Amino acid sequence: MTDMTVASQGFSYAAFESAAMTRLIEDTARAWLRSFGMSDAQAHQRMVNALRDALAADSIATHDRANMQDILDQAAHDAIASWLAQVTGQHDCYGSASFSMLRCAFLSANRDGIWSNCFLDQAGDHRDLAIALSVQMMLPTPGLKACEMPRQTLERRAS
Amino acid sequence: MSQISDHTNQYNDETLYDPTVRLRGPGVGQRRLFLFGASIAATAYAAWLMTDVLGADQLTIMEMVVVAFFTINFAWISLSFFTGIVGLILRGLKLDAITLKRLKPIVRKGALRSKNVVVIPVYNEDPNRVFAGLRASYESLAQTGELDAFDFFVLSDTRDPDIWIAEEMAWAKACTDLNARGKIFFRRRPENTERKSGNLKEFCETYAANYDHMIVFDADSVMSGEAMVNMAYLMENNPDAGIIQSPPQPTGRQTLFARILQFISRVHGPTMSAGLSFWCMGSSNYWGHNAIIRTKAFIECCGLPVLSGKPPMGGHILSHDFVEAAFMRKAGWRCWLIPQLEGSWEELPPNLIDFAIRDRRWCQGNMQHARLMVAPGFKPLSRLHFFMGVMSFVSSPLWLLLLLSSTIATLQNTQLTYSFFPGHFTMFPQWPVDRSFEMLVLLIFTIGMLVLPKIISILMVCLGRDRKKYGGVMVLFSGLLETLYSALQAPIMMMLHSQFVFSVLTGNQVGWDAQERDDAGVPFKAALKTHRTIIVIGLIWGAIAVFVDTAFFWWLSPILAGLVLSPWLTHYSSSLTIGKAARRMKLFLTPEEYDSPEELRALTRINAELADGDVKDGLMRLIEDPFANALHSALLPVRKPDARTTIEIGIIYEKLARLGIESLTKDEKILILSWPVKPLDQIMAGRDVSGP
Repeated sequence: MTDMTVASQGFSYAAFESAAMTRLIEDTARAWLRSFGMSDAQAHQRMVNALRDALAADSIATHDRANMQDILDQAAHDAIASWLAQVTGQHDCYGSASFSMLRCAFLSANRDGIWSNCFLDQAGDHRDLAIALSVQMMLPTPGLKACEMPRQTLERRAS
Repeated sequence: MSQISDHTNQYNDETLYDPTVRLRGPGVGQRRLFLFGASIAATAYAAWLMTDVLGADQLTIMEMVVVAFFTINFAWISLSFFTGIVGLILRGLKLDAITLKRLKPIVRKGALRSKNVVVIPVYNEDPNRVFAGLRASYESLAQTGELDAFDFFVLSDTRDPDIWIAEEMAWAKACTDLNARGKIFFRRRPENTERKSGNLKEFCETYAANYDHMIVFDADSVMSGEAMVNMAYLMENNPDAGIIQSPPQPTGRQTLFARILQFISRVHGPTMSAGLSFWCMGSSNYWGHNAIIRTKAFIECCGLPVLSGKPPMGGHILSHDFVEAAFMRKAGWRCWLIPQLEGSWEELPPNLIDFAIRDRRWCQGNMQHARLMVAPGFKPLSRLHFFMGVMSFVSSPLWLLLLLSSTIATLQNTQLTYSFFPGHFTMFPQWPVDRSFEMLVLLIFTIGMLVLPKIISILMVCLGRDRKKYGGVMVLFSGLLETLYSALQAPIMMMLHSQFVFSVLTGNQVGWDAQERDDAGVPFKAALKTHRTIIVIGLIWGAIAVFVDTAFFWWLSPILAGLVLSPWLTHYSSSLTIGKAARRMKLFLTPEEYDSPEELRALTRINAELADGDVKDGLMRLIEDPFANALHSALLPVRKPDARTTIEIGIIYEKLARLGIESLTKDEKILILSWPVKPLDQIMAGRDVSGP
């Protein structure tokens, strides 16, 4: 057993976790936190817990490292997207564009680290954070209004 | 078309449209009749004079060739001369070129009702400069109180990975700094088919329908808020207008070359714009930027055809602006040039080499128009615009042919011995006729047509109230030096343009490169290398001229001087130091330099602020900076790579992880930036990617 301080619901899985797996989980959590511009210990622990929960619920063999990395990445992505959906009240936080846009907004809002302790906190009230995120949301394009621009011909009449 | 007639029916309703800004004027037919009539008459007179001079002792075949080339060239000069003369009269009397009423500033009645967008198509341009121009224009627009009626859209076609990332960051910074989220938009096209026109077409098919009008910028455009709002107001109140073009003033460059061009464009440009507007009226041309376009009309009738055959004469249309204006006219929309629309600026290439590179690109585009000149359906004036575009380059080889045929004709004449009793038996000899007076008249007539409007424009500025803004009395020296410089530059451009035309006609194509937009100088060696053929031609031509006739050599000497001195001219005119020294001496001073408008001051300020903006190592930036990474991911279109691309991306990622960023080619960088399978910074976290 490598980490006895994990949350109680992860204990049964963590008890059988190998050192290599622990390192993989730690690295994955760190990388995802880094992509949100954070190094907060509390947030790190929440991410590790989320990854362990996901692994505990998964039955894929742990020796396939490449596959395992994908599973962990997906688990991390889903955990963050789920938390962002809860914070913002939006349901479309899982798509790559909306997820990245929210990541942008969080990075801008959390430039001075004031929201770090909220990261992945499922229990707290995050209405202020939701407002901060909405203020920082980038909008690259307006609504799509598709139409066809017909090619003209060099004929006598205008088409 | 039905929409045009609907609008026209309501046009007289003053509750809907402001009559004070109505684009209508009297005597359109008479104006054109006068202009073309006068041009034809002057050309006929000059051709007769030339025939008289050369044919005094019977016209040889080569002399007939000379007369033919002279007539074509003169017709071209003549049209420009009378356009200039009309422009001078309009400027002198302070008359509106369209309505022929006293010039008045546009007074808007109420706020804008339309929704407008400023679009900036870019391709590998310096993002700091692009966004500095956007921000200066945005700030100016905010001061008009009409910001709500406008959005801004950067349409990137960039293919350089570092510039791509820098553009995204510059966009985010502009949105944040100006608090303009949802006002300034950005999109990059994954495939840049059909270059700039394809870029705009893609915009038209996706987002343009959200807007009534679009103001098209070039990467180096800046416009005042007042100018943009006035253009939108004119569009609202002239429902049959498809395009309204403002005359952009070149500004912002400091090299001697650019400053000379900026000066003469500022002094003489308004004259030519007024003259053009006078006779073109609602059939004016579109110059590709700093113009407002009715979006619906543009979408409906400006999708460009693909010309049959291979490039350079076939394929996609390169110079799209003239063609778009022609299609607008074909569909019944009007295109206006409004000379008095101030607050519209652009930048020039900093030196003669870059100027020529731009001309090479334009030459290929304009030469394609030769095919459109005879295509059915276009209005006569659209055909004339095509013809003028073609002639702006073809006139050079025609001039060259005129000079060459003159040389051959002179050579022939020196070989002939004069016959006092030609042909038939006669008691009386036929004495040689002295035509030196007629030759002098013809010379003065031709040179006068070439430079008189420009000289009068300079004198008008010198005698006007604003002369201080042009350097006071120094405007005369500036004008004199500009005339001298342009006389020396003309033969160089003649040779270059002739080469370009020949190159296009023999099937050579140009690539698509961003224009040089810094004050770049040309080292003497580079100038010498570029112009070596021209120098050799000049020397050989000079030697032949001396051999033929010393008087002919002196006749040709201004041309030969330009050719032989070309590397020095190019090198020294590209000098920033001389350009700045001339400015200190108040030479080539423009009002923009004397008292810079707020927008241009803002441009300079923002340019300096953004100068630190890094346009290097875009990929490294994405790995190191989570925000840049998230932003980039967010801006990518939602799509999945096919199996082959997925494998390629996997290999590049592995290469990146093992060998570092330096090992990747530009194409590899573009590929992984186009398809990030997961955030790059996660994949690379903890790995050293700066190189082995």
